[in-house]
This record gives sequence, C-alpha cells and structure tokens, in this order.
Amino acid sequence: MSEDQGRCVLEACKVSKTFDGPDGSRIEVLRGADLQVYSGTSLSIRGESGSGKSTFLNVVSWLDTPSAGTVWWDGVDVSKLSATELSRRRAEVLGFVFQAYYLMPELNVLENVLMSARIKGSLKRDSRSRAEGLLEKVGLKDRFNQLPGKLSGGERQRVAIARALLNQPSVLLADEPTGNLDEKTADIVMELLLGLCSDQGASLVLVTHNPQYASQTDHRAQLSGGLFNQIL
Amino acid sequence: MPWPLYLALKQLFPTGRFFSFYSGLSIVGVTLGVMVLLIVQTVMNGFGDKIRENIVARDADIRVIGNGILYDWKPLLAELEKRPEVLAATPYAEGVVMMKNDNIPFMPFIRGIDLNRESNVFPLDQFLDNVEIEELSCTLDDLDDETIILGIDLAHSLQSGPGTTLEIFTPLMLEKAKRDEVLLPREMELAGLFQSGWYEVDSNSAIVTLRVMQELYGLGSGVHGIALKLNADQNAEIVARTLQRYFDKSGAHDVRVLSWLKKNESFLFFLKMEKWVMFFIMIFIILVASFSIAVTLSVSVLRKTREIGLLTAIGARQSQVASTFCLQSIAIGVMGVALGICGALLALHYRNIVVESLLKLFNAQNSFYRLYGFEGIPASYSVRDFVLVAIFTLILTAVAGLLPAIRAARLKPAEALRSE
Ligand SMILES: Nc1ncnc2c1ncn2[C@@H]1O[C@H](COP(=O)(O)OP(=O)(O)OP(=O)(O)O)[C@@H](O)[C@H]1O
Ligand SMILES: [Mg+2]
Repeated sequence: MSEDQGRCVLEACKVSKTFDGPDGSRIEVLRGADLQVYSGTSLSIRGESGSGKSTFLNVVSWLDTPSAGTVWWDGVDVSKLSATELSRRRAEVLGFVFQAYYLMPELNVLENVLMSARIKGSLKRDSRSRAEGLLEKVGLKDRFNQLPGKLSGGERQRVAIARALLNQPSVLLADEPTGNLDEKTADIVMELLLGLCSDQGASLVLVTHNPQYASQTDHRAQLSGGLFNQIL
Repeated sequence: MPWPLYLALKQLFPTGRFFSFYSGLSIVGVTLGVMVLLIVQTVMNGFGDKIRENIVARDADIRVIGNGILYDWKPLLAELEKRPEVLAATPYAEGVVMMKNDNIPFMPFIRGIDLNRESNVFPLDQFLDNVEIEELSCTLDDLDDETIILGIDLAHSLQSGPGTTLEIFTPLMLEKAKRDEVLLPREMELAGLFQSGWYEVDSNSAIVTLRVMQELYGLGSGVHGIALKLNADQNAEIVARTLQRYFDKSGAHDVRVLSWLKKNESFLFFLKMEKWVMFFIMIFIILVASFSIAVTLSVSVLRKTREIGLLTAIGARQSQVASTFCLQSIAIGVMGVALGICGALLALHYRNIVVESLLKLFNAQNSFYRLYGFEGIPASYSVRDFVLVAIFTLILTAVAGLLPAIRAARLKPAEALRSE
C-alpha cells in the first residue's frame, strides 16, 4: 500500500439527487450521501436495484450535477471548475468501467485503449508501449489489431479496463463491470481489475451485486434510502 | 492530430475496412452532385465559346454604321483601311425586302456587297463552298446586277431552284406609290446558294451586289455602313471604343461604331443567363446530398449515443464531441468534391465517346449534330467555375454537419450512458 494512504482522492459530501418523475412528481434518489475514497484503497458499493448506485457514480464524476452537496476530486471542489477544466481534471483523476463496454466499433483494440490518452492530450511515443503493456497484462497480447466486434464480452471488458487505466487515474469507477459476464469470466475480470488497480496505486470504487467480490475490497458501503449507511 | 479529427476520419474509414457504408453513400451523393454541376457548367461554357466563335466567324469584327445614309463613304473607307488595327474593310447596304417566287412570299434580310472587298471581311467564299448541291453552288463571280444568292434554307422555303426568277418588292415602291408613280418589282435570277450553318442566317438572308441594293433602297451612291475585319491580335471591343472616340472628335463622319460583342449583346447575355439558371437548378442536387449527410450523421449520433457518453466520461468536451461530427461532414464534403472534380474531368475528357455511344444506341447521331451545328460536345474548362462549385459544396456540407453536431453536443453524458 502506498504512503499517501491517508489522502482523500474522491469525496462526496451530503450529495442529493432528485429527478423529475414523468407525472411531475419528484424522485429523490440520493438524500445527502457521504462517501470518502482514500488513495490506493478499494471500496465496494452494494445496494438494491434502483437504489441509486449508478446515479451516485454519475454525480460523483460530475457527468450529472447533484441537486445539493459537494464533490471533491483530489481536494478540488468540482463545482468551481470551468467546463474545460472539468474535462481536463476528469481525464486526469477518473477512469471508468461500465457494465456495457462502450468500445468504439470502428477502432481496433489498441486504438480503443489509446483513445483515452488522445482525449487527455497525453498521446506520446510511450503511450503506445504502455497501452500494449496493459493489454498484455489483461491477457490480450495477440489481439491488438482486432476490432471489438470480434471479441467476447469478457475480452471487451478487459479492453475497457486497459483503456480506463492508461491515464493512470487516481480513482477507477466501475459500475457492475461483471454484470454481463458469466461467472467464470467475471472472476477473471474481477481479479484483473483488483490486481491492476493495486499495481497502479489507483483507488477503486466498485459497484457490484456480488457479495463475494464486495468482500475482496478494502471497504464496503451499502446504499439504501439515498444514504450510505454502512461503511466498513 | 486533434482527436476529434482522428475520430472523424476513423468513423469514415474504420480500421480494417475501406470505408463505412453510410459515409460512403454520402460521399457518392456529393460526388454525383459536384460532377453533374461541373459537367453542365463546362459544357455550357463550351457551347457559349463555340457560339461566340461562330459569331466571330460569320460576323465582321466591327461595323461602322452611318446615322442615316452614308454618302461620302469613300474617304471614310480609305481612312479606315489605312488604320493599323484594320485588316480589311468593306462597304455594305442592308435591309428587309419582300421576295416572291410564284405565290410564295417571304420577307428576308438582303445585303448588298462590294464584290471585290466582301470576302476579305466575311467568310462568304466559305459559305458558298459549303453548298453541296452541284447545280446550285456558285462563286462570287456568278453574282452580277441581274442575279441573287439565297441562304440555303430560304431557297428551300421559296421552293426555288436552278433558273428560278424571283420578284423583289422594296419599301421604295411605297414611297413612289404615294406620289402616284409606279415602280415595278425587280426580277432577279437565282445565281446560287450559300450555307453558313446557322439556321437563323440561312433561312432569312439573301445577297446581291451593292449597286442592286442601292437601287432597291434608293440610296443613290450611299451605303449603310462599313464592316471591318481587324488584325488577329486586336480586341474588337477596345478598337471599337477607340474608333468611336476618334470619329466623335473629328466630326467628319456621323457614325456609330459597334463591335460584334455589342451587336450580339442580348444573345450572348441570354447564353450567360442560361448557364446561371442551370447552375441554380443543379445546386439542388448538392443541397439534397447535403441533406443526406445531415440525415446520415444524425442517425450516427443516435447510434453512437452511448459511445458519446463514454467520450465525455474519459475527458472529452462537448465542443470536441460536436466537432467530431462536423469534421466528418466536412471530410465527406472534401472527398465528395475531390472525387466529383476527378469524375467530372474524366467524364468531360471522354464526353464524345460517351455521347457517341449513347446516340448510336438511340440511332440519333445525325439529327443531334445537325441541330447544334457543330462537331462533338464542346467543353470549356473554367477554373473559376470549379473553384466556385468546390467552395459552395464545402460550405453546404459543413452546414449540413452542424445539425448532427448540435445534437451530439446537446446530449447529457449521464443520460447518454444510460440510453439503450
Ligand atoms: N434521468 C432520470 N430521470 C428520472 N429518473 C431517473 C433518472 N435516472 C435515474 N432515475 C431513477 O433513479 C433511480 C436510481 O437509478 P440508478 O440507475 O442509479 O439505480 P441503480 O442503483 O444503479 O440500479 P441497478 O442496480 O439496477 O443498476 C431509479 O429509480 C431510476 O428510475
Ligand atoms: Mg446501475
């Protein structure tokens, strides 16, 4: 474990999120949720379907703005950032893995991974070798030139993990990364995810339904009633 | 390379494939539009140039026309012939008469010519040579004060043939009739025909000697004007202006100086208008092609909603996401224009082969070329037109890209990611 263990890389403070329902009603999904993610640690979030786990990840990554509350990335109040700064910091601080893999169908595996470096504006000569290194680590050594359409679900998710880690984010947000995979493949992907994050010193926020995976993280949180009521 | 451009090109030319099917269709649309527009413009230019050439070939470069009858034209002729710009000059008198063969009347334009000078200014010898009917071909030597030469189509309308005698009535008769004098119609024998290849000329003109025309019109020794042929390097328009200024200043002769351009101004203007009208009609092809780009890319925004959400999640700005689609549209435009120009050049290069085989297919070779009076399809390449079409198309396709770009920029990342 790294030395700045105590540093808070991602913090949500009293975050609320309310949606407008179809008939003018208001759906309160988050009601002042607090969460801290410390550098180099892993955290799992569990909760019933519809409890607002995905909503929380969206808000905490500022892909959606909270109705109330504050979010800090590496100690910076996100609401104070300009749109350009926000995009830049997001590329630096956060990495994403989703249940659906969201790979660009017209790019091959390597190009998909490099996309995150392109967008961050940090595409250099060593980006390529770093990307190849990551792909080797996720076991896709010979598949660099393959198009995503020709990969299995597990392989696609591994590409997505490599893409998320290329920019060496402080925090990797994973929203049910194994939700579309069979048990055996899910185990492999989960092992890779946990292993690579701790290798790279990236914190991991893992949304999962699987208690077994949840038990493998350093901390565990339960989302219910719009609040985290159990952080171990 | 900025990543939006990279992604735009990758979406047009995905890794491992030559091009994406939908973008390919859009490119073809633009290509066809540009091609058609350029081909039509170039051929229209060609027609215009050809027609101008023909006007130049059958008309004098400049006419010095008297305001009224020119009686002392001999010193004027000598003066004009002496000028360095002038290659040759010939006096003429012309006007409308009524002509009758048996009971078929016609009101053609008749021209009295100076037999010694006419051929230096007008290609009349060539026109006489063009006539392929043996017994009706003649030379200027066959023309005297008793004979007349008719345009080939006029002769046909009058049903005249070898040995026909025509009766000619002139406006002078009306003048005489007012004074209770009777002037009998003049009888003239057909000497032969001429063929300029221009229906409007061949169907409506006749040629007599200058003396006959002077008598028919009661001009005495006067003429209507002097036609000039200029040296090859002279610009008719400029020389006409110089001459006009010269005559205005000297005041010796009351004349107007008209270049062939001025004289045929309305016809040439009509040609130009026609070209622009065609341009505006053809533009709609490109407009439609641009719409198809807008539609294709909007559908692509829809298809890629979730990927667009992901781009934002990994640090893309809305403006960059939007420009990905705008750049795609511009790239489609650039490629469409490039291919369209190549296609147009190719088609124009082989235009005669193409048209020839089409005509052969429909068995219409002869009538087609007779209709237009020249060999093959003319073409005249204008860099200005090419640049104009290219710029116009690029602007339209760029504008077409705005619609999908705005749609992409409006997507909220969280909603984009959760969309199915
Ligand atoms: N844009 C929206 N408009 C209206 N309601 C929304 C919107 N987004 C989410 N919700 C609602 O918020 C609630 C939480 O949704 P969310 O996707 O965060 O649940 P979740 O915990 O991720 O569930 P799952 O485990 O099934 O993925 C749901 O009831 C959903 O209907
Ligand atoms: Mg969810």
